[in-house]
Amino acid sequence: MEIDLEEIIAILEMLERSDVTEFQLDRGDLHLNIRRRGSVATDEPAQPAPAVPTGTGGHESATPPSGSSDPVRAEPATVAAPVRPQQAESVPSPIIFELDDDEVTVTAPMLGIFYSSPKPGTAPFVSVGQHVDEQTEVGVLEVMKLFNTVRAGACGVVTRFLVGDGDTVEYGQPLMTVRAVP
Amino acid sequence: MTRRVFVANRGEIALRIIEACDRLGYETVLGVSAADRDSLPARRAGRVVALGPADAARSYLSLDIVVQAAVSTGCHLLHPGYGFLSERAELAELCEEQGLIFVGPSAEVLRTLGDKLSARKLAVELGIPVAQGGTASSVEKAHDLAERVGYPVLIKAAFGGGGRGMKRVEDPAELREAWPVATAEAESAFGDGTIFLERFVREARHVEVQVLGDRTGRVLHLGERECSVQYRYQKVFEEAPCAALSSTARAVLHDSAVRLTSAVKYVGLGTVEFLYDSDRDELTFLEVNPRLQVEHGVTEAVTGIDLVREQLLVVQGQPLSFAQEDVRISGHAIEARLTAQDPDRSLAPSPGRITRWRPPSLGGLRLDTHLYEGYLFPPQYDALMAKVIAAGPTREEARKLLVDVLDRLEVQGPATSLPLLRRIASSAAFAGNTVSTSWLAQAMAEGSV
Repeated sequence: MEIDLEEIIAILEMLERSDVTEFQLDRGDLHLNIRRRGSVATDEPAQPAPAVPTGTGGHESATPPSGSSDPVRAEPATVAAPVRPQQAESVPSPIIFELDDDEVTVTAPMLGIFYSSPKPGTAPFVSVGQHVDEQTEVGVLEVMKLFNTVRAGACGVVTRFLVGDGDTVEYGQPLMTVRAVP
Repeated sequence: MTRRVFVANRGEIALRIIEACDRLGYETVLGVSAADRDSLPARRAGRVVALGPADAARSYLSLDIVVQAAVSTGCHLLHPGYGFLSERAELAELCEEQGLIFVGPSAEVLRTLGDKLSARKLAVELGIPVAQGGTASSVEKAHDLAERVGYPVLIKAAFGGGGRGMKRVEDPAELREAWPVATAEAESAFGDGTIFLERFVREARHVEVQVLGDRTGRVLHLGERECSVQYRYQKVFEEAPCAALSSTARAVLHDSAVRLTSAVKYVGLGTVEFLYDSDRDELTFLEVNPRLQVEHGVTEAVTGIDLVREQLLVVQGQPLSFAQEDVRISGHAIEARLTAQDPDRSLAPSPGRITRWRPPSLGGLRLDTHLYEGYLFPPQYDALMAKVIAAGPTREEARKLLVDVLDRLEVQGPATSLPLLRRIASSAAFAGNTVSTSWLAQAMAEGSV
């Protein structure tokens, strides 16, 4: 069965008024996972972010089939947990996304503000589709006006950015995905 | 506007700060390392942000990351707790630059008092007695100084605290070996390698005064604590008040502490530590711990004052809501520190999964702890598991309650100091209140405790 956007919004509004910190819905090929900002996932102590619904293969779509021309590589679900706690904040919540089997994430080596280019208005370190290796500089993290290099740490092609320029990211938070190229 | 506090610490003290904030209606943000995502304070905080990996140098001790996290989460205050960055003047400075209220004294005061060497100098200027000693720029000069002071001497980290970074040295050969090691340890533990030495007082009691100052320049004391039950300069038992003090010595103690901290217009909570030679009825100034102290709970138990609450209020500019004569010491409280340390292996650290945790529930008991059944006690940090505080009308009644509590306390998983705590609480020396700072190590070596 399919759930439309309005129904998802209704669910989100309901959750916002509740104490629920994590919500997971699995219906057919729909897998919705919403986590409140600041909540600690008790089942995932080591990794902060990718709350990929368990039990689903990497090639399954997390949203209703959207007519993607490539059924194997369906559009990833990017339902960014929009349930806000009472506190306003600038650190974005973990982004819910799905990782293909041949994809890996580049994670933040520390808490900091992410920038995809060396200076405002300049070309980004890397773009989607670009080939990177372990040592390729893919971004910087600003911590108290000091810039720390983020390296890809993997060999492949950049497939997605998971955070925006100027977002404060936490340690271990996935920043982008890289698809391994044989 | 609701105040929001960044808690720059972990373990039981993070929990204690969160609790105080909750009662004041303040929001909390806790910065955690990768090893602490599952911790009890992480569950209790309003919000949690991951600072860095388990390695403290890249998480809790990273000044820039901690302040960045506080700024990015829109906090107004930053509470450093104890240990980690709590005594770093650079942190107070960086907070001020970023518009954050640092919950502690000013950077200038932290430089003067947090540096044990300049604190010594100030005490001397004010006519407060100090132990003989000083610093040296090389091992050779340290030798000369130690010869003048006389062995044994204590090597201390200028920026150490809470008993950490101290080493007793018996002779020149030991000094030669210990000096560079202590420098390196101080550098790694406190971010500054400055060390100094002092004459070692053999039979002394450790007494300390709790002070609280506001921004109007007023400083009050909240009585003293005794912390003579120590092992390798780590406090194991603390109590309030100190039953061994003469009334003259007590008056000198309180007066010295208030004069020293008033001289620097101290703001917030601080502890002025002394050694007390009960045979000679003599006090010597040790150092000031310019922060919330681990053992603050025993003072709370006998004064009825919530120290963390007062600390949060005074740093925001609120004048003290009570006067010196309002501070009344009532009854006696004793704290035992339960640690993940094995008494059968010289209190070696023993981290691991807590498989059973059943504290008793008794009147007069306070338990400050971040333990829960199933918690994986991490190996990277301090071994403190719980502070067991027993209060009663007299020292003996408090002690008996503590014995009872420790007997009924159940903890399983890693080896803990519980068997040792039980033996100490029941020992004749502790019951008779004849303990000096060297007692525990000696009694353990003899097998009498």
